[in-house]
Amino acid sequence: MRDNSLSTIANTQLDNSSKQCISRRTLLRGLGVSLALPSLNLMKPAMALAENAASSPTRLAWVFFPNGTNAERWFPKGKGTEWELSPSLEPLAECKADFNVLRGLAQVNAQSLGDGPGDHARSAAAFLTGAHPYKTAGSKIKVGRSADQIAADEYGRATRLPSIELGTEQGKDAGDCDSGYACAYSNNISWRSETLPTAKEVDPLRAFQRLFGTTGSTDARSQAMQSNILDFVTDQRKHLVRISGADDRRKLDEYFNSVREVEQRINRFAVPVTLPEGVTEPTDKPNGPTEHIRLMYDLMVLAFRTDTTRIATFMLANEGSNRAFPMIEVKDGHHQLSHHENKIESIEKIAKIDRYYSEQFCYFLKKLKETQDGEGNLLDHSMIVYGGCISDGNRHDHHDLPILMAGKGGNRIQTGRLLEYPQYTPLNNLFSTMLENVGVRNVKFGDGTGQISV
Amino acid sequence: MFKNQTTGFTLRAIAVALPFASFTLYLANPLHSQESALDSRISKEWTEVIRPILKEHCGECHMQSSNEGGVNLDDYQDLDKIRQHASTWEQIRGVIRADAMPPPENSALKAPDREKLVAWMQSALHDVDCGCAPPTPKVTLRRLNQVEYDNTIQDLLGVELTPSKAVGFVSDDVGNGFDNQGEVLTLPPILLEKYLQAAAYVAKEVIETDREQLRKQRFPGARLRHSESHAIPLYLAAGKYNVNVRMRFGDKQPDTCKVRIAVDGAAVTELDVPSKDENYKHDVTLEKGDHRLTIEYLDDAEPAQRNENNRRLIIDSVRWNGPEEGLPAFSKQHETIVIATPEQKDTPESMPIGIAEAARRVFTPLLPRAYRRPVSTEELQAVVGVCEKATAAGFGYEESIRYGLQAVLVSPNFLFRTENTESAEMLDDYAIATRLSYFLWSTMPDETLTQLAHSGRLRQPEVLKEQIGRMLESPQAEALNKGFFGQWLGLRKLRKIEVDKEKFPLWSERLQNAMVKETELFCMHLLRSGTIDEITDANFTFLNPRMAEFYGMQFEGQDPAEMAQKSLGKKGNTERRLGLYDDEEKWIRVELQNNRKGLLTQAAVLALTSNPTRTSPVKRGKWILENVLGDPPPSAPPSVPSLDQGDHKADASLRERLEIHRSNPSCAGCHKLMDPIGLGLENFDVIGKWRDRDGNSAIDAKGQLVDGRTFEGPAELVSLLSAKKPQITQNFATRMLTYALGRGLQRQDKCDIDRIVHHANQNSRSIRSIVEAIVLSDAFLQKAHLSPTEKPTEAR
Repeated sequence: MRDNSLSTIANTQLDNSSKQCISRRTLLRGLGVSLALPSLNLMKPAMALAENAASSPTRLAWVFFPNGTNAERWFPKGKGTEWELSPSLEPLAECKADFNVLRGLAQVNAQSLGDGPGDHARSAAAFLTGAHPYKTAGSKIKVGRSADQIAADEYGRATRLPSIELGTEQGKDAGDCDSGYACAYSNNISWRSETLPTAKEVDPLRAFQRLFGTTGSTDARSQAMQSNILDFVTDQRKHLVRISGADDRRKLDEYFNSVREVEQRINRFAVPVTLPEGVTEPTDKPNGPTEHIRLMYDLMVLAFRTDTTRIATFMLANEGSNRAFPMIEVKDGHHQLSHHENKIESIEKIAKIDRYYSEQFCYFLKKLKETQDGEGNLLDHSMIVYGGCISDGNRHDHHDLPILMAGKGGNRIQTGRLLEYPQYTPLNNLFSTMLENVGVRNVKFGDGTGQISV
Repeated sequence: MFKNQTTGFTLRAIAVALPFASFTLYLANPLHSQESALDSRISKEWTEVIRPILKEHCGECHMQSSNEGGVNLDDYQDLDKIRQHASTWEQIRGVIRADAMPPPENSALKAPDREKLVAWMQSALHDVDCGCAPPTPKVTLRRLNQVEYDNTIQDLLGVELTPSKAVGFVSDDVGNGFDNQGEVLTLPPILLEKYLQAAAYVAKEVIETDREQLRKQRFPGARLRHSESHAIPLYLAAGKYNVNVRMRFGDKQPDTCKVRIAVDGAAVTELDVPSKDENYKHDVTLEKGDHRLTIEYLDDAEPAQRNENNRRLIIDSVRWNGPEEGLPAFSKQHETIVIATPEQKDTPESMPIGIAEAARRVFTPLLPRAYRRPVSTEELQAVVGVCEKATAAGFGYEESIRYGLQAVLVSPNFLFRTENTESAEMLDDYAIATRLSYFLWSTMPDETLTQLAHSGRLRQPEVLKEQIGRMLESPQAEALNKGFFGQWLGLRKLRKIEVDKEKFPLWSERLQNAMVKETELFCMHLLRSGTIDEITDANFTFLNPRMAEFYGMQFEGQDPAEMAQKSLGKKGNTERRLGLYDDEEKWIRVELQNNRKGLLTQAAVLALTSNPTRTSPVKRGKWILENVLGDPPPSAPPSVPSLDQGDHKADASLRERLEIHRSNPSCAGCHKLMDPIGLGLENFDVIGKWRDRDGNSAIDAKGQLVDGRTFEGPAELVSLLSAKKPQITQNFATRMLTYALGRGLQRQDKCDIDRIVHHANQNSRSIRSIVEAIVLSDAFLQKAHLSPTEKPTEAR
């Protein structure tokens, strides 16, 4: 890791004596376009939102990997507390007591259901929504609301940002993404509304600035002007020329809803985030996928630790990603390999990639675990789902999904187990259970039918 | 200059003037919405002919309780349902046509029935009765994409900024193959945050608050070769200025070179500059306005040594100080926008006009340009109100204008291309100007288009055609080249493909750039004066010395290898190439040799579909079917059966290995469509270079298309494809209409496509005639044919 990474975050114990406000110089270092922002105000000491909130809130995160797995190597054997880590999960040995593996869960709406090919697009779209995406190359994209955004509505209100959405790959430049599905489906797991993907940040520096900088201004009169501009914008609705048709109105609703959301946040943005000592801005150009992934994990730890947000989603890569992994001697693309045709060589390489992702996830869990949070550590106060929406990449199965959930959710969950549910149990039932645990009650969405016991 | 005004042209007047035969008929009964005779016929055939055939041959796996592959034909009881699931039915049509379904090993489906099914599906999915006035589908409100946003900011404010990069916008999603599709250009909260940041950034860059700091300006230097010059544009107040250039002639040169410092072409001084850094200062008195400072490397005492690397004029820095008296000018873009100040006293009462009036004067010309239409007093007042609030809060005048500008740049009227309809059916002139401008230039309309819209003449077909001509000739048409061709052909992806450099040592960033440039120049030619036919038939292309050597051709009678810059190695006599060519940037049009023809054999297009270590005839074939002929093979089934590794020898050629596809009946159907085309291009390697052998095997580029016609190699293959001009034209028109409209095409659009193709055929299939016909099409000019029950609603 380079100096400008966030790697020191979780190792720094957060106690009152070491809290300090980030110096302007530090934050702006290397910030080529810092002038773009009216000012980044982290200097003014003030009560962070976190301190107004309950002592140890539960954090929710969903980490997604694409293209399925080598199922043979991914799924562990055993039952209950008597189980062995599988080869692909073996890098998680240190944290084995901190997560459960959940078998039997499904997202049936990722299946074709008469829509023909396009399992990759459907997988990402269905992963957190449990809904069947409408097949379209570019008109009327529609799937469903995602679990994280349902949580963000209520549970996200207490924090500076209701949720964050991270990734490592931009969308495509041209062409279609998967067999007649618009690229929005493959590139997003988080859906603000059933027609509006939340869009993700892939640049660690921008994500850092969004989380911890203030895009508003320092003084009251500049802030008042920000509000004036948003008032002006809200008032524009009546000046809009004749808008006809439901589609146009939907687009404008998207816009005005976003205005309202930003408006609600604008005051929170004026309150600076108190960052732990030693935190500096991350690079905007990570050196390879490993650094990129780890920086994003660092940001999630930091965001949770400072209670800047309690809800995060992270796409390790876009669904159908054809990224190569030269650092683990896999020079072929992930997607290409996932159609392994049962060739031994390809299957081996997929197992390597699965293992690689497990290693990175272990990095994340360890950071969470090392970070003190109230009476325990961050991991104890989290529920982190890690998985994908295809079981075996060659077969494109969307049941018996590779899913694990880390963290004790605030001592509500007993970890260290291998849990088996009846086949085709909706994955959404797990999400409803998580939502219930953070006080978002009785949510049934997508194909969910209720809750499950974890 | 903007005010509402009705035009003297009615819809019918245009209809008469348009070259489309069916147009008048179409308008004659625009609101007819009964099921057409065509649909009745298609429905009847479904019940009586098609469904029974499907039941007999497909029912076992795809009807009642069986839904193999997720397809159950019982889900589709009528034509409407089938059309709602058009993509599924395209796939069904594809696999039946390719003999891939029913499974060939036990299929009893005979050719005549197969043809019936295919023809019926084609008709059900695509045919439409144009006489029956199908409604033109609406274009969903389009947000500016990143390219359009940046271009619009640049043209609106006269600045060279790329806010999408500076602020880091989240990426726009691509739909229907393009990044300008209204439906997928969503606006989540994170993007609104970015727009707010971008507006603040732009306002700050454009409008200055402290002109005193402009009294001392410093500009970067340059390194000049003989006869080159370094130019710096300046925008100045009247007064006396001092220019201070720090420079030297090469490193340790014994002699000097002659340098001229000039303003607006008039010499300020001429100097002999030696090899030691020195400051050269001179005074100059100038009028208010634009000026251009140049530092020119005029002459060299030793002409013979001119081209040597160390005989360069090295300018360290250029300082510009002044004026000696009075205030410096703001930047040009600032002064162009901030055209009034509260202090000025040009009212009859000779009182200062004040903030509100000054802001009004600033935004009166700016706001209609930002909203791309006339604005109401109320709209103007809303922006002035923001400025007034800023002043009331204690901000200075310029800062207040900044806030006003920020507000404008996040208004939905700026960020979205809202379109006003003049009547229930037709866009107003400003909306037409905007559609035209974003289609051809990816930016806001310029002054000419705005004036034409204002005078109500823009919608006249002759005026539109004239404007299309003007706009395609303009350098801004590069936006259409990069936006449309770059995405249609996928050139944007070329920079991301991975090639094994050990196997293909020629592959370099310079070569990639040159390949893309070749194809861009070719496409620019197509846009301005080319035809559809040239896509397959052109016997010319555009090359620089690098591409000439790559293609094994002469460059202006020279061997391009001779033009490669070389240096002697350290040890003396071995020459080493430096990686650059003389005249690297010189691009010329050349006649092609026999082995290449048109677009399909250009290196960029050939390299696009390759795997890192070998060509992929399958991908090449699929690429041509899909992108050029508009006839993609059906998607591969999710679980591709394994190619049995034991069936061929380890050293089998690619062709031999691909034979397996065609010997396995469930692969054969689709692969016999794709593979022969790809194999016919096997003479071109991974990066598009000609080859006669691949490893140990000689290239065999013979083949037979699925229609039975045979070819001996790439040139003959391309001529066979060239016979498919109707398909190529139709596909091109479809793609370009999709780009122009920003929405996916639907069945009803077939009427417009047919007219566009017809118009093209009558005009030698020129690309320009296609652009013209698109702009004059119903879909482009009209928002919608509204049914009597659907009235336009006011916002809110």
